[in-house]
Amino acid sequence: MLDINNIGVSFGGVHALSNVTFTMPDKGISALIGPNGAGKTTLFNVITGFVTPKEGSVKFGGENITGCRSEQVFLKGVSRTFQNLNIIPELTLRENMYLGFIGKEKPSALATMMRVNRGYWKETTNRINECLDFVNVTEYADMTPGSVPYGVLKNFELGRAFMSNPKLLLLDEPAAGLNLAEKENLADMVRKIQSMGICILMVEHDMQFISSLADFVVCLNFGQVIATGTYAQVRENKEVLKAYLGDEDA
Amino acid sequence: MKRLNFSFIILMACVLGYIGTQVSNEYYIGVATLLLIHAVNATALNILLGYTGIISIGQAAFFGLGAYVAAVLSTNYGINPLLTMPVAAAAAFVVAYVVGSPILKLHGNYLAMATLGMGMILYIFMNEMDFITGGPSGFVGIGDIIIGKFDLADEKSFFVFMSIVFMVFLFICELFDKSFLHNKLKFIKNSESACRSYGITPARTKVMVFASMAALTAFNGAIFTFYTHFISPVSFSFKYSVELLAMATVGGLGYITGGVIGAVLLGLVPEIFSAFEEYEMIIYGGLLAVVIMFLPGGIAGTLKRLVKRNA
Ligand SMILES: Nc1ncnc2c1ncn2[C@@H]1O[C@H](COP(=O)(O)OP(=O)(O)OP(=O)(O)O)[C@@H](O)[C@H]1O
Ligand SMILES: [Mg+2]
Repeated sequence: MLDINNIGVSFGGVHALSNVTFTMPDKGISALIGPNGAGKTTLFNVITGFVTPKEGSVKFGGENITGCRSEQVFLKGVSRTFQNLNIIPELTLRENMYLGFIGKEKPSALATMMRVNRGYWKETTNRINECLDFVNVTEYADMTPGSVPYGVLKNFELGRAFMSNPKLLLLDEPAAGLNLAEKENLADMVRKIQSMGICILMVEHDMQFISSLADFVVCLNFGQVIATGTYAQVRENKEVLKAYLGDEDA
Repeated sequence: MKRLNFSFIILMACVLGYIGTQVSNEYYIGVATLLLIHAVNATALNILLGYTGIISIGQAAFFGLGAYVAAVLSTNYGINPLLTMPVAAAAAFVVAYVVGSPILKLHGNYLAMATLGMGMILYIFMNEMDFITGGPSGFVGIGDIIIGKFDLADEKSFFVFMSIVFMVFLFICELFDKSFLHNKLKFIKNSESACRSYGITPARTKVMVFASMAALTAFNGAIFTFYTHFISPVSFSFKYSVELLAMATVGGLGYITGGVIGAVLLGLVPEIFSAFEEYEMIIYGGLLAVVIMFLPGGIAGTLKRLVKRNA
């Protein structure tokens, strides 16, 4: 599904990523772990075209997407969430949800202004309601994000990324800031999305959360891959223990 | 797709109908015509700044560009005034597209400076190309709009014409405000990175919006030309761009009603305080400061919040 080949990124003197190589399986849920500043978000930014790597390539479904613009990467079927909430404060959640769909079937500006494309709107409205419902935010749908709890907003972002029916879903710390019940709820939703045949790659710090979900784990440290494999394999890896699990829960 | 809301449109229709039928003082009717012209310009800027997040301090230049294109074509080449309007709009569209493509990569203060510079340059052209524009002393001898057997030479008939144009414009604005396009622009205004990761190309949309609003403003400039029959660069200076910015902000950025409310309110300032012309800018500045500090969303936004709270 996703081939990361020898990716290198530096910001000024900082080597955010060097020699990053791994292949993500075609199915299931994969996790990208590593301590703060390891380069996880940067790798997401490389995949989605926000950061151009100085070397290496990214292949998605066999196609080289290195250097593609973010818009193009999305249209090829990669959708993502952001580590920090990226929800527009002046619009309701329902209106915000539309962002997840708008780029997919770009309706003509004139046609929508003249209100002639009713079929498109019917389909869009249904899809919006479906997604709001799927991530349990229907009851908050007509509020602006300022008056909605954080956990709901996290779920909302998952729903919006899922709106376009992507092939690959990138989630940047989806469980951060959630309580235990919310995390369990999130895990259920992630499993459900996966069972629809959508591939998931997530950055996550919560080991327990990963252990129950991820089939494949990659660990980054200081911009380099230090281990890949199943959760159990990575967890046993000495370098990982030293770099990451040591100060977490091992 | 949201339901259309005609209440403001109906209110405006009533106000304009009242002025058209009950007011006979030519001076007042003239003021009303000018307010409508300002309202269109302020609304165009509102769509740029309030909806799309593009700050432009060069709108007066597009207004002037349209005015001069229409004046030259109709006076020197004898082209029907009504036909000069779309030509003026097309000319401004092209200019704005060419200028906008590079400068819309800038944001915030830098974009403000760039549009200010663009306005200044066009202003200099109006002054210096006196073989076409008549230079600082202005362009004289502009004719009337003639529609069938109606010659729009007097205040009243021009007011009726402008009212019809304005109502059509308001209706289109309402269609825009309740369409997907409105959401798309607000997405772009708030987060270009979110837009790009969901398949929208903000750069392309922003240039189109900038050019379209320039075209609209120029179309309006052409109408202005045939209203005043005389134009000179002073009407299209930096000062007018700033006034439009104040109108849109005081009225309410991001609300269609905002541009209209702001234009009427600030457009009346020089009429009411005509004895203290020197203080005009102080009044503008004061109002702007009060609104920015105490009324987020401008007058339109504040009214909307009040209505919602009491509903
Ligand atoms: N745009 C940027 N400009 C300069 N340096 C950057 C930029 N983005 C990231 N970095 C640096 O690159 C390194 C990797 O950052 P990144 O955000 O990818 O880490 P992360 O693994 O996502 O960390 P966290 O767990 O805190 O989210 C850090 O040292 C960071 O300071
Ligand atoms: Mg990160």
